[in-house]
Amino acid sequence: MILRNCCALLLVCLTAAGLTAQKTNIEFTEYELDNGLRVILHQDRSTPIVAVSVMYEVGGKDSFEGRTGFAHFFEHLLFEGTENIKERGQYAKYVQDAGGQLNANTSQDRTYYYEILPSNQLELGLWLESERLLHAKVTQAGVDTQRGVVKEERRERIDNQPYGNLLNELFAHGFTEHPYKDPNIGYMEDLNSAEEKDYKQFYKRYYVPNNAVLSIAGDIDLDDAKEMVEKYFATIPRGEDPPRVTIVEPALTKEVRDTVYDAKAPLPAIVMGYRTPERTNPDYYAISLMNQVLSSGQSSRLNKILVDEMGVAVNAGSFPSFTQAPGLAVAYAIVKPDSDLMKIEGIINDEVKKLQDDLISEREFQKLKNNVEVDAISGYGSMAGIAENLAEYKMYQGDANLINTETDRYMAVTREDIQRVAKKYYMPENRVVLYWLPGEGSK
Amino acid sequence: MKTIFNGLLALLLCTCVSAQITAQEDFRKMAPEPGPVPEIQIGDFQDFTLDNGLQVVLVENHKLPRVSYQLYVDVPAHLESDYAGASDMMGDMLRRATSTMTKQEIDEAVDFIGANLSTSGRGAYASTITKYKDEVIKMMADVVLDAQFPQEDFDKVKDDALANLKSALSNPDAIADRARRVVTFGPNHPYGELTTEKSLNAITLPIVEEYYNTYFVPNRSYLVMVGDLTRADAEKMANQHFGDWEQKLVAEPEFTMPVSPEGVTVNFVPRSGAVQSNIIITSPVKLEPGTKEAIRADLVNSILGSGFEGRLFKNLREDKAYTYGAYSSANDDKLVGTFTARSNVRSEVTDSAVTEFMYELKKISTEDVSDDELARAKTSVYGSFGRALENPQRIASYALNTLRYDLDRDFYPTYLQRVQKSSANDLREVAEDLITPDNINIIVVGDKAVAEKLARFATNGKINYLDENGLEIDMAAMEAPADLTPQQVITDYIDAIGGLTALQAVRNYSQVMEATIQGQTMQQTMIKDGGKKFSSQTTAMGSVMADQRYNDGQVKMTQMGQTMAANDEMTKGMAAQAALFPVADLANRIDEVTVTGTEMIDGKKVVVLKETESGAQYFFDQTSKLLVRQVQDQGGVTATIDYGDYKTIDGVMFPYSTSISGVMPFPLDMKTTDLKVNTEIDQTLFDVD
Repeated sequence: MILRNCCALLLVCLTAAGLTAQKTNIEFTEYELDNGLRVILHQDRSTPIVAVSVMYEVGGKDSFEGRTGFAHFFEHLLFEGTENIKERGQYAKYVQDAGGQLNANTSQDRTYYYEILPSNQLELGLWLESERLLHAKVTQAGVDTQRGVVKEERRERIDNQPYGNLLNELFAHGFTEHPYKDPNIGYMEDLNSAEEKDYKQFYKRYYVPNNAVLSIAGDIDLDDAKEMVEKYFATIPRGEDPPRVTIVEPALTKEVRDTVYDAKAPLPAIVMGYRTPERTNPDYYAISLMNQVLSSGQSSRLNKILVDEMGVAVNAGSFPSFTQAPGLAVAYAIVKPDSDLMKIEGIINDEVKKLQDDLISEREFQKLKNNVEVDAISGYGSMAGIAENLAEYKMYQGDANLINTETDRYMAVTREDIQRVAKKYYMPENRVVLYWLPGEGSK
Repeated sequence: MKTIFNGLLALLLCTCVSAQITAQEDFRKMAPEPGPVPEIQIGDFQDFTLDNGLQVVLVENHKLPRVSYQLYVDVPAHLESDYAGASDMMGDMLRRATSTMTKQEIDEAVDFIGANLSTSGRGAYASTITKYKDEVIKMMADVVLDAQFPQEDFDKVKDDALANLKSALSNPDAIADRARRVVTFGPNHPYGELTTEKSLNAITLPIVEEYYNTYFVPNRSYLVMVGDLTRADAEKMANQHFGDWEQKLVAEPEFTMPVSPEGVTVNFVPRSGAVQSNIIITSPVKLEPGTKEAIRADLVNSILGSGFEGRLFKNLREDKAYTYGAYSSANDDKLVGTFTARSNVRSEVTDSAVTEFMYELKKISTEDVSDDELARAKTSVYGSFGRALENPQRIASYALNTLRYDLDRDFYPTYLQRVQKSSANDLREVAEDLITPDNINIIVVGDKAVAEKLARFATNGKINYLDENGLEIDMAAMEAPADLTPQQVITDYIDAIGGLTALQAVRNYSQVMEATIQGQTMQQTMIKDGGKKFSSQTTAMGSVMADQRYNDGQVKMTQMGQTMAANDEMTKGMAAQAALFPVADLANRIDEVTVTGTEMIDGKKVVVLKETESGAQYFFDQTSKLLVRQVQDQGGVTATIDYGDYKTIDGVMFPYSTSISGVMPFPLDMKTTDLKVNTEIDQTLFDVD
């Protein structure tokens, strides 16, 4: 059990790293339809498959008071049916019958839908996505079913998982104003109290072409693909510009500390979140590399001291903030049952202090550059990965070509930059510290 | 105001436009037709053999500047007998030392260039970017060919292996799979042999070295190189790093082919407190890789039990809601293949679920599948085959199969053509041989209470009860004696630990216990006084980890230096803890306890008492009458506490060994180092203010 969890945490970390480093040469075509839909096409004819995806700029943070978790709930509802796909379950069946795969996911910032299909089924993918954007149908029966499914998902993935609530708790403690404070999947009571008018409003606000990126990668003929995109998407009317979250979270002025009890957790853990800036901030790259020094690989600083040398933790990790707006960079250690959390916190603090006091060694610096290079040139093996990253760069940073050029920004980071961001952001008054203890809470 | 106006206007526009769309754009009403089916071309592979017999496979793919190497050692199926588990332990040892590097040095070298390197009992795998292709193949060759086996590392690896086994034995899926292997293949077949605590403890360093020396030979190995490499690179690297590896003959033992049972057998592994039943229905089959039967079996399985559209899923989950999922699989294998169907269902529907399974197995093995199902299975196999080819590793695994099983070189290239040509009749023919519901093994892990309802599925009307190691349990002898009352069990227990008089003479006691967890020691001092005061101090590395106190209704708990408020449930729990002899106290509320039966623990018969309200179970050895186990719910998980090594102090027996499992990923073994009865007690330890 513990292993699976460590892996889940690690995965977050890897994904964050995976997003970061690219210097491969991915050619693509991009353009915008009159209705504001941004389109990105990447051709790769080596395998006869195609990934069709749409990313909407709406996520957990776009909730209104008393309606948390709406974006994620909506993601579920939008598989229920459309004007022309009337039977429940039919949407997914089209894809499965075509020998394809489909799924979707929702983050705090965006919602992403995709199909991976044999390349002769490109048009099917476009039709399905256009149905979802143009006239999805939300019925009471669908709402009731999906409410049940989302609750099961919540139980299975969060309530019933050791450490499942970790990110929720960190954000709940680290934010007071900005909607990042609320769980992405929503509070149960909000899911219960949602009404039909809420769905209608949400769909009209955010599911408009001018709030979406259509990203296609795979075995396509560019002209044919453009023609099909035109056919299915060009006549979908532009909507109003969706409202954006304007709340600015005030800076932390002192350390936030708490203890969380988790009946499912087999081992205690210490979890820290440092407030760090938005994804487009130039400091992102130095913070990201600093986290690699701490925890990437069995020979990284935290793993070496906590796991190998002292043997007090079974796993330690850290990763930069993964949100679009200012968020939290995370560091954690899952510790052995007889370990003293205060002492382990002290060791982590010492490691952070070393980064603030001294430059990292030349060898560690070279190791970082090597790893940036490895991620950059071998990171893009799948069409699904390319489609998603092109869309994400376009949406978060307005530049899909960062898929090719972002590596330069990592390579430009100096040892002094790493020391500087360690000093600037990794201060006690700028963090949340949670002691995560197995067992029932006293509440 | 303007915004509102614009908003309204936009709204109006929207409505108009979308009305227009539905009027004019009829193409939206139907799903579009697919284009011409693209040809799926399987990338080619090259192969050559070194003088020492090592077969090298190269899958060239220059799309990305990266390479991977797999060394696959084709260890023949063999019995490990008393040392089951030695091959896995050898695999864990491989990456830990060479004659020039320690584990830390290997980690650092691999991480420095952002590469990966892992090992197993069947070889090694490594990947890197093209730039480091030479360094990484050298490292992989070093860990495999220059392997060192330090005793110190062996001890660590063995500890891990024991902990992993214990954690597997607390997992019902793993228990079910162990029973499946024993029942399907028999304990004297390599596939049916189980790793046990006993076999792991028997393994010594020389056994592990012998495994390595016997089986790690080039003439039974394949080096699979994938990615940005040329034929010249591959030849040079293979020869340079693996050319001197000396060949050696390896005996290949023969085994009789396990066969399907006569009729239907029902095999049941009882598991205290299970709320779900893990059902496996399975039989061995002759299904060799690279045959048209294997391809058709894949299609049959796709219709019966793969994904959301499979018949089993639709029946057991979507229609009956017995389970979260129900699936089947058909595994081809040179030695012996298997058909398996499985699901984890709510306890109360165990027999109903088996009925539905048997119905579906009967149906698919006797009736043709529908045209619609066949068509969908074909596109589904076609689609997943196509998607998989995106990854060059898939092509490498096809190449490895082609060589290992000596398949026609065009087996994989023509795979989809054969899928296309398969008819419903072809599928039924294969299904008849593959799925034999009249000659099959049903294996269930679950609560004993649901077992008897399954007897009707067995041809002989009987249930074979098995333990977690697949050994038969004699259940007839397990029945609790009809005249045994809870009162008698508790009285026997009290007499066994010293008798009522001796117990009543105990005013207080102080017990110090120690546990070592992966090299670290923690200590717990537990003090009970008068039945209404309790104190427990847990220390590790010189600091107090937990401090729990109870004083006649009041509680104070401190954990890691933080005080926790207690709720009613905790207070109640602590009050029970404060009793000097809580289990003996069951005598005072004997109507809340029942005798539920007998079981075997470590080869000894025990009688089981159950507390009605909490569900806690107490296991008393029938010979010694002592408490040997306690099972209770602890915050949503099942905790098992084993007691042993009883010693007499002032006329009363106390367990000096306490082992808690199920709560943490590894068991916590606590040994008592000091126990004093009627001693001087520091009363401040009960302070709760």
